[in-house]
Amino acid sequence: MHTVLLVEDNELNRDMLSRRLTRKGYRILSAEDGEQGVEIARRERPDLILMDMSLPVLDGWEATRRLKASEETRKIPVIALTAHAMTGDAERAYAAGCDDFDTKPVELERLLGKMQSALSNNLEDG
Amino acid sequence: MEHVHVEHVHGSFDSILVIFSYVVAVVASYTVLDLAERVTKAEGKGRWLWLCFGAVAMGLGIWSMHFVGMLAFSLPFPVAYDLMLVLLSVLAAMAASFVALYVVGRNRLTVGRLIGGGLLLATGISTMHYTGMAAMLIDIDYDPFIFFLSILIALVASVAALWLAFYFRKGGEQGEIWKKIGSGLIMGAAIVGMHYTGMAAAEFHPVVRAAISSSLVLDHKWLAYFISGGTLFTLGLSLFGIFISKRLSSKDSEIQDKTREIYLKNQELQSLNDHLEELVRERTAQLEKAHDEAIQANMVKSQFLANMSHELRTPLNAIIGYSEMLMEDAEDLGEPTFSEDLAKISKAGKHLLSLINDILDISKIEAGKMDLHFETCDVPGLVQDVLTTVKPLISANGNRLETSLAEGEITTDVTKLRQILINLLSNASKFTKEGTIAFEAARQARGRQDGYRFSVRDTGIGMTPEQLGRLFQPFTQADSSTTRKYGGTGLGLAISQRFCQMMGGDIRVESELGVGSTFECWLPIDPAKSEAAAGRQDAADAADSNHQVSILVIDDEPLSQQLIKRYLAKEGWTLAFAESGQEGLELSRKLRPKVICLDILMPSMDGWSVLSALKNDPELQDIPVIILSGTSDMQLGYALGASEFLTKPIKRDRLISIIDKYVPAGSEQSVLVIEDDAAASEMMARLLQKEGYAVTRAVNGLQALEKLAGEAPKLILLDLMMPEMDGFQFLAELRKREEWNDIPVVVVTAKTITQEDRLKLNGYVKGVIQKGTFSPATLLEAIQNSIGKIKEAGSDAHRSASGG
Repeated sequence: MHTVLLVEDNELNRDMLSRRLTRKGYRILSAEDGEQGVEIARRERPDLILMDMSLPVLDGWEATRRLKASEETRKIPVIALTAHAMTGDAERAYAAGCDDFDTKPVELERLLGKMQSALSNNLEDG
Repeated sequence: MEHVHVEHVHGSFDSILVIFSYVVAVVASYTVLDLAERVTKAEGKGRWLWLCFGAVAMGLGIWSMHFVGMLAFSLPFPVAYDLMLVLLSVLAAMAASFVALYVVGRNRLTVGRLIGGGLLLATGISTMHYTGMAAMLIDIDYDPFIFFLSILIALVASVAALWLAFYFRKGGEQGEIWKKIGSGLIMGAAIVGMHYTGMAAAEFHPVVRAAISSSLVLDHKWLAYFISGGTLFTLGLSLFGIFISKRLSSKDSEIQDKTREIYLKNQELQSLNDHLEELVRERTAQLEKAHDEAIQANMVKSQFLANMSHELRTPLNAIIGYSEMLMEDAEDLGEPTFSEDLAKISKAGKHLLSLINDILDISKIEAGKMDLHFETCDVPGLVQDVLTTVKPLISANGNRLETSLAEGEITTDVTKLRQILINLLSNASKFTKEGTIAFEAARQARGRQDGYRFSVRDTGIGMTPEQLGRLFQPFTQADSSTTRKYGGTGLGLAISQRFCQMMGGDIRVESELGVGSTFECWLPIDPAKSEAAAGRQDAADAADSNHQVSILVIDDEPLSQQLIKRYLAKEGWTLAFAESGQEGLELSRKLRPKVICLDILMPSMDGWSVLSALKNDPELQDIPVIILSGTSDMQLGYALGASEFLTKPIKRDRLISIIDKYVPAGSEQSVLVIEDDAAASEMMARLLQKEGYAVTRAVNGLQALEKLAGEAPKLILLDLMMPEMDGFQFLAELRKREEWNDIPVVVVTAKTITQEDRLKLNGYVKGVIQKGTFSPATLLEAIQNSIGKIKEAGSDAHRSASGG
């Protein structure tokens, strides 16, 4: 079973996504802001991080940069989740070090596909 | 000494002379008042001259009054006069008058000055009077009481006269003459009163003095008439002089006023000139500020859109997510009713999401905030991905899908291409019931550019030509009932078309009501290799094909560009567009348009800067510039050299009539030359341009159709043998579109025209010219003939050209 860290400030979205992913057989850890996300990632070393970008305290881009800057968490794949209407979000996400990018509202099947490939890529690399 | 018999003699007065003396006094007083005014107006030396002149005139007047008064007094014995004393009395009168004039002529009258002046005047008059009396060679005793009374009267009369004179002079223009006459009468009365009181004080003794020269004994009466007549004449002359001088001086002052006015105006102009540069600088600064503010506002708007998108999507995310989750639950629990209702919630949520996305997309496109992210992708893979998404939609209406895919890769914004294809396919399935939807992806080159054509053909309800015309406009569906029946914002096609254009391609549509529609989206295989992207297409086309452009439109707003294009394209003018000030200047140099339409508020380089750059370039300064602006700073526009100024929103008729002034529509006849041989094409284009035609060129039928889509030419010159689409095919295509049916076509070919060819061309072409045999003259003649039938051959230039 893979452990996935979901960093999302909106309670409904966090609850909904974590429940749906739990059903699909993932163990879900959740964080409400970027700082908490970074902290939990360091402590728990999840297999994958789903990162919302507009977050309080520390936004998703900065959180990702910190994760990718640290030796311990560098290898954990990060999938950015953003509202697609914001131009340049994908670029900014990749620039911050995200491995993949998906838009909200989440289409579960598409997201699951991206999660699968990120996890398998990571396995190959590892 | 013993007074033996003192004889008191009282004389009698000649009443006519008394009246005469009063008239003289009044005229003298009036003259003085008139003079006082003149003295006031004069300055410097002139003032003193007028003072002296006035003093002489008035002195003479007073004195002659006195003397006539004396003569009116007849004693029962002859009286002789001492000449020296008589002259002295005249001088005294003059001195007194001088004082009076001096006082009255001042602009301000103080009490001190009034009393001082009055004293002096009274002294003068008294001196004059008693000196005059003393001149009589006769003994006179004076009654001291009456003597002092006369002095007092002189003093009071003088002060009153001075005050009155000053008061009336200050009284203003109204009734001036009457006031003067009135004060003249009073002054005259005062002087006369003093005189006769003085006379009353005198007692005459008929003791004849020793030496009486008989020669000095004059006939009093005639002397009196003579003196007073002479004095009146002198005074009349003075008054006449004053009148003339007044007239002259009023002329003078008029000229002076005018001169002063001119001087002031000059001064004003000078300062305006001095400040003009400063004003322009100031205005530019203001505009820069407004411009910055506009950019700021636009940024705020973008930020708002971004925030709103986030805010709207977050709850939607939850709605869609939870409903889907519950659907899964319901399915697990075997509750089909729940599952169906939850599916409706989820569907409605997704619909709402797509509407929000559309509105955000079109807003971003219009704000110029839509970015492109090019990546290379495999065409069949992408199409399969799209088809998977839309398959449920297609089958929902019982439609059958046919596909035909070409292998290969395309570099483009994949997300946007996917959005376009989904939009076209979902439209097709929305408007088709139990029919066929055919999707095809095929390689197709346009001009020198390689590309892909994605076509979606349906057997649905189709559209009328009117509906087709509005198809790509945002917020309009084929008609408003469509919205009710089929839903949607009506933004999908507008967005798709704009995306396509941004990526260097376009969407075309053919449709027949009740039969079906075909949408074709064409995109270059690699936009980096295409020289034309987005709105630059027209300009680049124009520049490349040596197109003679009549109007260059410099405007950053895509919407106003479209509007102007719609307004002007029909009038037969050739247009080019620039999206920024810099591009506008480049294109002006390159294309040399006949008129430039210039927007003012543009980012980075505003219209004012463009205008001054144009007017400072010796090669471009003669091109008339029409400012199309939201601002109303007409003054600055004209100051910087604009020819016309139109305030947005622009009215179609006004714009056309103004442009017509500079580029008469009659002089601009466009010819489309379709010819694959570069040398022949070039030759024909040059020939036509020399004759004042605007020339568009195409290398084959396909490219020609593209050009036709932009604007219809007045004539088409067509080669028959060409690659891609030959002349016959082109003609067939041309006749399919009703609006192109009237364009005359002249075939220029090296091909031997067979009987079969002739049949095919019959009725479709105005004439056939064999290559190799034609001279410039025959070509032009053929063109004149063909165009002349449409246009009333209004241009003499063209007619004379046909002769040569």
